[in-house]
Amino acid sequence: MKKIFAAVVAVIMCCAMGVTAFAAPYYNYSFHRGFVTAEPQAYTPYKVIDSVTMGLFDGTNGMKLNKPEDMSASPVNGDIAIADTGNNRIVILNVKYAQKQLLCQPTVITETKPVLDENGEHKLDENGNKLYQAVVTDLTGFMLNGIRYKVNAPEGVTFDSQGRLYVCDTGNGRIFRFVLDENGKYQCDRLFDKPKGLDELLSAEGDGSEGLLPEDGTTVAPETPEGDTEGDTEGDTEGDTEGDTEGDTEGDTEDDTEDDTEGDTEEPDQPQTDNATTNNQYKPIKVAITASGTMYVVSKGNHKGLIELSSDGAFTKFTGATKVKQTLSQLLNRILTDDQKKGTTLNLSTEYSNICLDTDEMIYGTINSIEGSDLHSHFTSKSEIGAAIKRISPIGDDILKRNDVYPPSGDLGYDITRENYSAMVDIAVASDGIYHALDNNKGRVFTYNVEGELLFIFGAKGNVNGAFTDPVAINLFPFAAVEDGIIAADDPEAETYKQMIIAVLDSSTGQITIFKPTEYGKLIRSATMSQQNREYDRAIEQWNEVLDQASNSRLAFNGLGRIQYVRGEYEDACENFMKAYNNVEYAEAFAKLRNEKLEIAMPWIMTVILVLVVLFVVKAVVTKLRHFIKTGGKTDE
Amino acid sequence: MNKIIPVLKKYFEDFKYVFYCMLHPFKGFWELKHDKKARTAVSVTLYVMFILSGLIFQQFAAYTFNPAAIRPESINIFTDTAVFVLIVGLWCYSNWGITTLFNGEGSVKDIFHYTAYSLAPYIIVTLVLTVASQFMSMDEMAIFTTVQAFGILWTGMLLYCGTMVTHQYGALGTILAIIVIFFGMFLVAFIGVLFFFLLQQIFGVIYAIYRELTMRY
Repeated sequence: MKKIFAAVVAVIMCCAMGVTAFAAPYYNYSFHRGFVTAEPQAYTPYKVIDSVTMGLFDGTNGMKLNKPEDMSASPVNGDIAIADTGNNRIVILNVKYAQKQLLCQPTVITETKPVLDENGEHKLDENGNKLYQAVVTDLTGFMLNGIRYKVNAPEGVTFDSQGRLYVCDTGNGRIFRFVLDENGKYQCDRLFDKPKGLDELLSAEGDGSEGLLPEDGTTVAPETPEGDTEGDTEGDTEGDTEGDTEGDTEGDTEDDTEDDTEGDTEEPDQPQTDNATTNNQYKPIKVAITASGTMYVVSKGNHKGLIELSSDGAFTKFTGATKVKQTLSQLLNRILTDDQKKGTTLNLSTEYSNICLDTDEMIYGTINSIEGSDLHSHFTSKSEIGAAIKRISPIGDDILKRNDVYPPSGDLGYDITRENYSAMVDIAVASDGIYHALDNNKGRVFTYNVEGELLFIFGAKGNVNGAFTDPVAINLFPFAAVEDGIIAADDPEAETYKQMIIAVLDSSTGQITIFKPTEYGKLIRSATMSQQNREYDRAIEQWNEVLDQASNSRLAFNGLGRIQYVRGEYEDACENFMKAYNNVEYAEAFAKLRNEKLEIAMPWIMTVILVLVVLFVVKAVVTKLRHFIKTGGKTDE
Repeated sequence: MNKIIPVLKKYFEDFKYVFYCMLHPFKGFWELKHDKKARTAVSVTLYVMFILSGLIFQQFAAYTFNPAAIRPESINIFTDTAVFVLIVGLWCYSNWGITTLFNGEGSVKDIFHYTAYSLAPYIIVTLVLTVASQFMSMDEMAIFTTVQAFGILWTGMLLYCGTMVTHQYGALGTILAIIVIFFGMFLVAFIGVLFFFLLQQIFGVIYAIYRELTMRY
């Protein structure tokens, strides 16, 4: 009987476990001062979405995602855009991950049409049969101002705060903007062509004489004439987009169409050809858009930092470039001849791999192309050069907080081997400032809080659900979370939890993996936020709950210690900081504790010293007096 | 009991000479050698205290100045002791070897004694800092490191004076001798490691031959 009961319990437990998300194929860990500690799981994989579930491919028809490079979720209605780079198209999914619209889907219509002779009559062959021919019409692409545009290997899609979709046409060196029409479809309304003179600026670094940037790391735009239509050969799109200076939607499209009809007077019926140039130095791969329309563009192979474009697509400046190391070989470069310089390697600033904006419109950037030695010095001495994650202010300074012992740059390596460190390819910032960085090297997601402290790590490389082969993009899916039932709509903390649903796009498998937080993950998050909002009673409660689940949690000890420090409970603070291996804050709390104790002890110490001094003086006087009395005031002589 | 007390009294009387050497290095070390003021018991005590003070600092210095204290599992007193012994031993050995070649006048015994007496400031400073660190915060880090450096410099100065007086070298000759002694220490360590590895190899060869033979016959 007992055995049967045990079996039943086991079966029930298995079922219960099966109902929840599938088991995570990785272990969660944290590291500090050279030792790794196991931590409870903070996130579990919830769902995997592939081309079939998206409705792109039914087994025989359709096109699977082919090497998608980027993904973005609309903050307005939760639509998800995927840059299907290998298929030269953009896939848009609705909030339920089902296909909604395909931009630039290859559509070729083959019609059978009668062959007409010179007189417009149906041509006959020798046998008197009517002649037909197959006419192939390529309808791939989307229309803008009467021109059919195609994208070539797009590597970046981004929604701005108004839900407009920006697509980086990487191969053709331009950016398209799409807006939602009344049918819920995305229509192209704006083209930001390659800014004038940018190619020359970008290729300027190739001459080898200088890989150095100016001190502040920014380059100012060269003087470009406003209306440059005369310079262009065929009155093409470039002139149009730069012609309109107002950054608004409706008015622009009208202006553009007028301009266009002026431009191509010969054949108004025929769609104008798309004068795309593929041989560009300017290869936009990622873009971030501020509320005012300023665009920050990451261009492939560009070592001058981010490209800042104004809302009308004109080049403003380079910003946020990492300062390069001054090496001995650079001093040597000064005395080399031009021929010799060609043989030396360039010392270039690292290029960005991805960017995104936070709620304060600061740019979070990830950098992948860092050398192992730079990363090593970054982890040991927080040097600026090896930083894999940056937060860039509008003037180009890195303002990311790095208040923990180790800076937020992913995994810690012990030497200069590059493979031991993370290769950050994307970053997602929640509205409360907590950010997730995606490591392509080991397939891990690193979550940090505003102070730059590591909250948790999850993810792995592999072939099972929840692991990645080539992760390229990470996004928050707040809308999909509610729609998917991960979060109940009436949950009091729904707003917080919404920001915790993470989606990771795998380029090689073309799958999106949705992760949902565990109770532990939620607890850490809400405790962090309570502390940040100075709700200390609540935070203490939550940190203690965290300690129930993970009794060595450095985060919890640090959190408790800080609250106790603020409240003046220095002795407890010292103990907690010690448990968190936080010797810096321990020393601060200890100094307060010591001063507090000194204040009590000082009167006693001073009293004792005074008494001793008085006794000493009295003794000296007494001996003097005795001596005086004995000798009767006479001197020794 | 009556026998022990005079022995102890004499011992403490001898021990006082350590402080005399600290403050009057030239005269102190001269008398140490020529007037036979050195006592083996005192020297051994100093060496033991040198090792103990290092261990005590590691174990008991306040967390602020000694982050390793929080992780007792990272402290291994046996390896630490071995390192202290090895350094002092190498110094004495190399010192004797080099100075013998350089016409130094000190014997092994002299070297052993003056090295021990020179370590006194380091021992005192380390012990004092272990106690003081309990009352110091991060703001007093500068004081802490200054005192620590002071102790090390004093010991260095004593070693310099001791070498000079014991071996009858000039000022520059002593510096040169100390540099060569350090070089000798590295050389000895290197040869020791080399010897160890070669021995291992030879053992490996012999063991292989033994295996071969037992397998075959």
